[in-house]
Amino acid sequence: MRDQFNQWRGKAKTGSMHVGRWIRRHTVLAALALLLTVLISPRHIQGQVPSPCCAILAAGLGTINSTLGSVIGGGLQAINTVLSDISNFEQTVIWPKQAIAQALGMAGQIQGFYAQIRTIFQIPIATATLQNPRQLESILLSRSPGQIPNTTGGYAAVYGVVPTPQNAPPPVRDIIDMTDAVAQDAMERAIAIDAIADQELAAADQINTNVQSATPGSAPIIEAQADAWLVRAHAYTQSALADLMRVRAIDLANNGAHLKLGSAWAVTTQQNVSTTLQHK
Amino acid sequence: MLLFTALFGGLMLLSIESRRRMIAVLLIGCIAILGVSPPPAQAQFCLPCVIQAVLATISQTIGNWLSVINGVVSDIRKLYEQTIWPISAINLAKSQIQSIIARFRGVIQSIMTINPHTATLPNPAALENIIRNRGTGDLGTVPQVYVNAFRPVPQAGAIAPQDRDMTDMDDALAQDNLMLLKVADQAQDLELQAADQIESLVGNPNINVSAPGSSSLITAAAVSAEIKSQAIMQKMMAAMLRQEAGRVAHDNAIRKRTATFAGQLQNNMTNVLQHK
Repeated sequence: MRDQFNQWRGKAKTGSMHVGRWIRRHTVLAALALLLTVLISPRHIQGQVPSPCCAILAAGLGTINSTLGSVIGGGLQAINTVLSDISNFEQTVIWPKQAIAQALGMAGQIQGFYAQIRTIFQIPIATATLQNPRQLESILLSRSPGQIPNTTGGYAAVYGVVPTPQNAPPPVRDIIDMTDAVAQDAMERAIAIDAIADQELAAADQINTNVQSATPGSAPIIEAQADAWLVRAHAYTQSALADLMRVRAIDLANNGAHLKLGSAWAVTTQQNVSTTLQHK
Repeated sequence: MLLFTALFGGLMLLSIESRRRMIAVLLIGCIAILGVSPPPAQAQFCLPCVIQAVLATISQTIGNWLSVINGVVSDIRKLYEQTIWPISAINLAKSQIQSIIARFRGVIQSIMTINPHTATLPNPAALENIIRNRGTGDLGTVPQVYVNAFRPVPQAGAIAPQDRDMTDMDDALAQDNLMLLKVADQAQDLELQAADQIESLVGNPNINVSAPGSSSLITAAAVSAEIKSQAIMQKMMAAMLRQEAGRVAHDNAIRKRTATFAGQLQNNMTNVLQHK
């Protein structure tokens, strides 16, 4: 047995020496053989059996999915419910379409009323019969600012002019001139106010037309403009009232002036009579 | 990898006596080692940790934000439904409007139906009737009825020319205003109808007829109606101005004539006294 082992060892030693010698002689060839062995040797690859990493990933994704469903889905659903409630409330209580249509219809009806008013205000009402009064009346009712310069001539034709200095003393001429002035001013202002009123009616018509194409959100903008026009209209009304008060004030002043002039003339007459009697 | 490195190292030792051979073995060895060298290893990361972080982001960050948003939206709904537009307040406002309509509209309308007619003679009664009937259909008959009551302008020769002109002008201003007032009366009736309709619409209990959102449109239309009412007021003021101006002008014309007559009288007296 031992001999046989020694025999095998000798053969192996001899074979090894042969291989070693061959390798030593053909080192490059051996290196190439080793390279080929390296390249064709199987690599370490992942097997088909699921790895623990995939299992963790799958479990994690499942948890993420359920969390998305419960946390985000639930939250969004709750928000959607509230938003739907708000939308429903706005559409049925605050801004119902039918109510908006009714309001727009009312704007149209208001315009209809004022169209009638406008029509009846355009009915001619001139009634003077003689030439001079007819001319003055046509100027006064013209509603045209272009006619204002003609007022003075028309007025003088009907009511006369300030007396000459030979015909009236200075205080009387002053009173007459002032009274004529305020009367003519009032007539001219009446023409202007009529014209302004026409412009306001036209502007209000336009505003009303704009309301009919407005929405609840844009209506306050139009209303703000209408409010501005209303303030303006009040100012013009006050202007007309002011002119009326001026006429009344001059009328009152005339009454006072009559008394003043009357008393002055009475004193002068008394002095003249006394002088005459003394001369006699 | 280590095994192959050792094998190639051994081969290099075996070829130590030949430099060229050793370099060849070295090159082949390098190629072999490059071939079997493992790809760069991924950095170490903890998958459960990452998943946990994502879950925390979803449930804490996003979940909390969604809760906050839901809270805000709920607050808005509450504000709308309980503070700004509570249905009870809307209905209360409408019932208050209806109450005011019921309390005042009929009373005011009945007051305005009182139309005084106090003239006793036929001509004045006819004129009074026509100037107070609030209609414009008979506008053309006003001048004749006026003339019947106040008489026509005298014929030429029966009155001084200036007096005739002034009389005609006075009549014209008076008649024009009486006619304008008939127009204004009818305009007022139409304005009252418009006001009634606006009030009835906003007080309508049906939410589909009158709602808080539609009132802005009605308000805008009502303000445009206010402008027109002011314009009508101005037309009446203008008419009153004409009338007052005419009255003052008439008085002033008489003053002019009186002054002229007084001047002429004074001159005449002076002449008479000088002749004596």
